[in-house]
Amino acid sequence: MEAIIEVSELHKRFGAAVALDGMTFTAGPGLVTGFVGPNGAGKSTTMRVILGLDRPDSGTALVGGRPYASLRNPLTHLGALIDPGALQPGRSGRNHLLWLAQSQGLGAKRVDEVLDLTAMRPVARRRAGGYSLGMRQRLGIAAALLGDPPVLMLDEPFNGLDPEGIVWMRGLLRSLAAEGRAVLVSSHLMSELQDVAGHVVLVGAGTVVESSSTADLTGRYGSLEAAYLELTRGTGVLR
Amino acid sequence: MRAALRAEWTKLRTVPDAYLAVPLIAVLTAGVSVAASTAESADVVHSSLLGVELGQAAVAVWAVQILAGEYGTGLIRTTFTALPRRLEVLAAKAVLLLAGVLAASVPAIVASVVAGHRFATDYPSLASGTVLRAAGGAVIYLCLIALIGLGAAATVRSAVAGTGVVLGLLLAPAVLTMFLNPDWQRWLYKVSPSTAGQTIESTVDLAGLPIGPWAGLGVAAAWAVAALGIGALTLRLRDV
Amino acid sequence: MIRAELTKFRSVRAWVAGIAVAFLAIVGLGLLGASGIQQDCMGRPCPPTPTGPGGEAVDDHFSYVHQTLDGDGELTAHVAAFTGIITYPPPNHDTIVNGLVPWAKAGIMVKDGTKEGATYAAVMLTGEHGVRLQHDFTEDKAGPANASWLRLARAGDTITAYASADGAAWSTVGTATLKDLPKPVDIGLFVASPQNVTSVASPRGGSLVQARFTQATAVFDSVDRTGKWAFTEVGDNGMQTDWEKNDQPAGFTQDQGRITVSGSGDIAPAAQEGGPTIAFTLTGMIVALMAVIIVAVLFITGEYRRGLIRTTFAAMPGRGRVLTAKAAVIGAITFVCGLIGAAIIVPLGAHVVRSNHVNLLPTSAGTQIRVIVGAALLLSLAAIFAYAVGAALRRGVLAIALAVVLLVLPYLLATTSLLPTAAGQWLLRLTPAAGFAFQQVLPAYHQVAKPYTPADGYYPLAPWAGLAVLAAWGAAMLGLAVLRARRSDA
Repeated sequence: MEAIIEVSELHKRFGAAVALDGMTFTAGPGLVTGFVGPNGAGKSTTMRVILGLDRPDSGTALVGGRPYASLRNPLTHLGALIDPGALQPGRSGRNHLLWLAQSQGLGAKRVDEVLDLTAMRPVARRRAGGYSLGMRQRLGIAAALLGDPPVLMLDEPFNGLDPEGIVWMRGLLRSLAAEGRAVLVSSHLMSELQDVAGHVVLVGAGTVVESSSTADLTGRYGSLEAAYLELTRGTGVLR
Repeated sequence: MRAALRAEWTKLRTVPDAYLAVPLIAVLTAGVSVAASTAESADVVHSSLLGVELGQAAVAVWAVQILAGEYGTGLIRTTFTALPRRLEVLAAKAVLLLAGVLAASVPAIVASVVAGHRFATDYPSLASGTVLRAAGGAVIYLCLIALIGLGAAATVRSAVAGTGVVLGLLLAPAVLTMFLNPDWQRWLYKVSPSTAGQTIESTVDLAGLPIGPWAGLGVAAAWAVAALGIGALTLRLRDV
Repeated sequence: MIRAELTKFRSVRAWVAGIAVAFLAIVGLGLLGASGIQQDCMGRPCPPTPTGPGGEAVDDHFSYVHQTLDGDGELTAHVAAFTGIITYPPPNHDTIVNGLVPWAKAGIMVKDGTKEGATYAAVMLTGEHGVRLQHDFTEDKAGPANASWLRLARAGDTITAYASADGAAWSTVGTATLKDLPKPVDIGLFVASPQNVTSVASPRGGSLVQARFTQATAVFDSVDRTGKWAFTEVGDNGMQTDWEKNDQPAGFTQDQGRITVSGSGDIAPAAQEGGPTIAFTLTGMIVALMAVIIVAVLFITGEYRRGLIRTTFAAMPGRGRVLTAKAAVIGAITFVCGLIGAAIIVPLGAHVVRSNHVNLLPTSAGTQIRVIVGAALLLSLAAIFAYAVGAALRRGVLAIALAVVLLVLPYLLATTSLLPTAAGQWLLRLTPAAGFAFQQVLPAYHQVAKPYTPADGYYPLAPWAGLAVLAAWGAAMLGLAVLRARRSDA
């Protein structure tokens, strides 16, 4: 399967509020694509639509050319970190990964591999309810890596990480892209993606404002930060 | 479906809920039944199954929790990300839920009728058709309540509201009938899942009841089908 | 602080909707229930239930051998024999047996005419409760157990009763004051024999009251008034049982100073067989209750789940006070909802019931207000209880389940006769379900042999006591919740 996310002409309203207004972009292989915009710009909604959790009013979102919901063992095609808090507090991190692995026809061996990959092995048998936000992020990353998917999609992965964790996360993202995977990373802070993203999709008010390579943006505006401020001015929907 | 079943099974056995729910259903059902089996009653078989009244509450709570609990924590998004065929998830949960309810209710109901046979006067033979129908029916009834709970959970998507709605559905009709005139009483008795469904436990004066035992159980089954149907539709159509 | 919590409540649409559901259930289901109540007597509308001097519905049916007493005077008589029959009593139901029901009555009565419900005072021998002085339906005073000579004296509005074992040594049983008693009244001998009543559980919920015909016959001698005696079967509806047709009708025979009187019926406050009470307009309470329980639990567990409680405690550090303020808010909202709902449905439902030609038992304004406020308090205290369970457990599902199992299930088990009466009564004393006691409109009277069980609408606790039990549960749970909030992390 081709490592690519293709989002085209997504529209979605929640009652009177327009969440997505013609969202269109592509995240390709071998590249970290930064998905950047102010809070409420439609990043999370787009990601939920890609995962088939939310249903768009119109438009398509394809993973490797197919709708997510039609994928067999979808975690082996796309690994996603959406809401690290979405855990049952009484279950241990390891068991959380175990049922996820089983849902994809994977064994317990792969669970231990991703626990090692995310340095979660020492706390894996503790109740997930007691995890810090950083540990939850790592557990979420472990879940995303479980199926060794060609496509990864991470919503605000830097949230709650300590400086050491941020460095680790950047290294991880870069190495995932270097392995030829498509990595889509959302953030409301441009600075987090500095030195990581090869391509940036800037969104505001449910639509794409700018989609360029990092080099191109820094060339035009001096820094990603400046590009972000300039391009998203007036498009932020504060909710 | 096999992967969904395995995953749901792991989920079930890695949190304490089921370890609490299954014994609780069994103890409540058997305990109340055994306590009631000595009381004087016009229908000793029905009395010896009084625990179903309380056991069904525990069944309903667990059934709602097993699905709606995931909405509370947000886990449902992870679940549906891993298993995008949502009805498969619902089916897997239903299978495991029924297995749990059976594991709890079969021994509890057996204990109930054995206690009734031992302590109550004029209790029919345990091998008689009426006792087998009442006891077997009680087990089926609890299974149907579980499915109603699961369907309601999928529909309202909140554990608290779902529990309240299902418990209300089970208990309120019995209270309401006290206030209504006899025609409406009979009607409500016939259409509400708890009163109609538990007719399966009645063994005396069947002709005087508003609905027959099997037809009554059929009403409860219709509720289960309707609840699951609406729940399945909600699962399919709504954003998570 | 209360304002902040009120704002929080208002801003969640589902909670407001829950309260609206509760309100609509009280009014809508109440109307539905009220419009469905039917009553007929042999295919025709029932005659209005008579009322006594106190305004309460009464049962006033007995055999009366009487003459006019113009002004003061007295009557003395000896009850030489007192016997009776009971038709087809349990357990065997197939014979007519000789015997008196415990409250069969034979004695002397002064009454303002023979109209049902007219004021009276009477001294009587009873089946099993000795000599009694009763007046105006609700009043009862015990006299000696072994007397058979009775005397009733009238002086103005005051009636004095005497009893004696031998006709020589007399003791005073007591006096009764009958307000505005006219100068000419009736005085005479009477016999009444209440129905033999049992209550059995109905498989459809509630109870089936079965009443069997009885008749008592008393032989009076040494009757010290002469003159012509008239006979009236007070409260007679014209119908006769087979026993009255074939064996012995109600009536009297006289042989000099020896008068034999036979009769049936009772002289007592009416119970629910006289018609529905205003409590029947509160059909929707149970649904409303479920709705407020859900909202109340969500009101607190929603905060704990989303971590909002941390924000709340950060903004208002007095944790006990925050939890109490929230309790006050949910209590006040549900109280207002219940108060308005009940204040609409109780009079409206009563009107609907009456316009269906159903005899709604009359209730005083005070009782109506008590029922309305009681309904509001039940809703409010139940919400506080459920909220407090939620705050103490911090687990919404457990809280809902526990609140329902402690509050609704005992009520259900007790009132639908799923449990033996005594067990049901204990549940209604000890569990939060005691709060339902406010629904009892008619008081229970010890001098009336009626099945005063929860299934018949009679509760073991007084209305306010029942609500107090529920309040105590709520307070205890709230105490636990505050303790837990102070001790543990938010």
